[in-house]
Amino acid sequence: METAKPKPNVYVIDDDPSVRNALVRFLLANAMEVLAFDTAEAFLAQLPQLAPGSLIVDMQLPGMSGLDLLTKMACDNIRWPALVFSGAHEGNEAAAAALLGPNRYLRKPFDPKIVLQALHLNPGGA
Amino acid sequence: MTISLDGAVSGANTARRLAGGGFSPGNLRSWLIQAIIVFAAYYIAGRLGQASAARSVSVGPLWPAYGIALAALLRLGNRMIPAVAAAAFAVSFHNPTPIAVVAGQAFGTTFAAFCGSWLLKRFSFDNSLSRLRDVFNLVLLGAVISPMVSATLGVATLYLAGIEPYAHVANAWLVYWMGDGTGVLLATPLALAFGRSGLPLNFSLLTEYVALNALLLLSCLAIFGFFGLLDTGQDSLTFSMLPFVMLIAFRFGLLGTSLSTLLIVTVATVATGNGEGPFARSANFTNAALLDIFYAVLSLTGITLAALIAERERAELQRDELVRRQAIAQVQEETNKKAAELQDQLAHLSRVGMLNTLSGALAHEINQPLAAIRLNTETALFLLMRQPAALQDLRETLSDIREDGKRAGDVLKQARALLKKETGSREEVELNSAVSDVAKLMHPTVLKLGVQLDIQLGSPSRPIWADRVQIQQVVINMLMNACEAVEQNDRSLRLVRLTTSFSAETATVTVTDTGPPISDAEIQQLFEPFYTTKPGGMGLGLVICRSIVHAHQGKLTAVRNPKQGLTFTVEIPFMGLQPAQPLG
Repeated sequence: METAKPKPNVYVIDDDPSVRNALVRFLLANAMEVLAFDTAEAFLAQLPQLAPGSLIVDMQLPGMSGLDLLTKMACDNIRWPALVFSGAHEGNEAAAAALLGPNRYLRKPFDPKIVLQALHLNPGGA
Repeated sequence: MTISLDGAVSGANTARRLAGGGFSPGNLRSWLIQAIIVFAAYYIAGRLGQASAARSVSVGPLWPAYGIALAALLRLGNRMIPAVAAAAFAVSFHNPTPIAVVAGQAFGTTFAAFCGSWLLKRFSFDNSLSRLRDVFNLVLLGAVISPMVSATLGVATLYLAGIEPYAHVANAWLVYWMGDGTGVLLATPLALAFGRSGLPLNFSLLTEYVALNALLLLSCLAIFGFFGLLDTGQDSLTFSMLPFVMLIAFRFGLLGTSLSTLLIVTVATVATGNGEGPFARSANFTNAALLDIFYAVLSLTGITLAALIAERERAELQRDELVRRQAIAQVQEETNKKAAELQDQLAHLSRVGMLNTLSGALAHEINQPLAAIRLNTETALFLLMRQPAALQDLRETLSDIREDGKRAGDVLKQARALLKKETGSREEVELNSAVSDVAKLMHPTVLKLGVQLDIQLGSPSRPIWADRVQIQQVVINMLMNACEAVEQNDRSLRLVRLTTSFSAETATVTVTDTGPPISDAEIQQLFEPFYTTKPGGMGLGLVICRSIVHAHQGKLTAVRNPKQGLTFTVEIPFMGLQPAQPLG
């Protein structure tokens, strides 16, 4: 582990506290810089102050959905890589997410290693 | 207007009496007509009685007029007293006696008839004479006791005026008493039965009656010496009348037997008056007494038999009615049971369908904790490998894993409960917890449809007595309807509110949506089977919900909101089906 290397920034947006906490704990343990939000709106409000990073977004959020958030960011030309996941599986959500940027779509429950893989392989995240 | 021969004034009169009360012109007219009929009947019967007493003045062996007087007061009430008194006066007026005696006899008759009818009514006498106890009461109170009054007053009047119709005052009293008593036995049943349709009058029945009476008349005439065929001294021959009377009572009831008895009585009285027949051989008093006994035997046999038969027929009818009612009750019970079973099955099928719709949501609700568990497990393994192991973090992580495992299990338990087939069992249900569980189950659906669900739970006073699963089914149904109703709205307007509230008597759940406008006609249709606005919908959801709520003695209603959308309200009474609380 190279301590000199700056920690990657990861932003977790999930309304479900247990999933959100588990993600944060998992990412922290894997030496990442993590900020968590329970709604897309809360994230957007903070966005101007945030350093570029990766997103982990749940599709189903109260208010603005995960897909809505990615669309909004794409419109504002912010194309951070995102890991999108969903508990209920709708075929076209994955395709839509893929169109909006360097995104990956995961189904819950997912293999945690894939999360790490996805984050490390993304050059934007490093 | 119809003039009724019964105390109960019929038709328009009743209405008028109820409306205005008092003595209206219509009442007066009907009273007048009834009084004239009573007067005429008494007068004719009295003149016939006088004719029968050809050999003795003032006291006949048969006094049917007294029977008419008693029947008039029984059937039409005490308002006929003036008519009876006037007729009695008019009849006695034909006797060559002083006016005071006429008045005394008229008073005696009227007073005795009043006493007789009063006594009979006290013993709840029924004018149809269709019970044996009524026949017994008529004989004892009407024919035996009440004529004692008229005989005593009448004979006293006569003797006070110095008129002695028989050799001894006791004889006079006896003949007076027996005459009135026989009059009751003969004339009262006839007058009571007259005008009441007891039997369906058809041709063959009428022919049978006429033929029987013709035969009876012939035998009667022969016995009383009209053809000179028989030795008319044979009074035992008069018993041959009994089979006729019995047969007629059996076949034609009270009116039939009364009329036939009257026929025999007429022949016997006329024959005896002419010195013919078995009752013309002895002294006046003996003849009169024998005739009266003969008449009493005939009449008693007839009316007793008629009453017995009426009683038996009524008992048979009652038994048939009872059997029929029991059969109906049994069929109803079975139908209700079957209906309840079918309703449970339908509710179950509806829940299965509902869960099918909810399956995505259920998967989501299970996948969430599973995702968290996998992440936490990975973290835990990682934490274990650290040197030194981060025990505090590890403990927290494992504790979260435990919580998430429980959460996934709870979701499955909920789903299993909804799929359960055996329902209908009532238990104490905390409405708020049942509703919250439903809201949790619905959470993914609510999220997916972008609906903002606002939940406001009131503070419960006590649990409801209900089938938890069925109540949840109703709430899920209402929530799904509401979510689907607002789906087409702008995201910011997809509002659904779920509330519970509690009053002293009821627990209430409401679901309010901001769905599209809906007409009154459509609100009406909502609860009709197979009415649906959803593609692929069966249109049974609300029908089943309503039947579930009804089974809980509650109400399910839908009203339009002032601005937009609908509010569905379920009210469940606390006392609905709750068993009695044990004391202490």
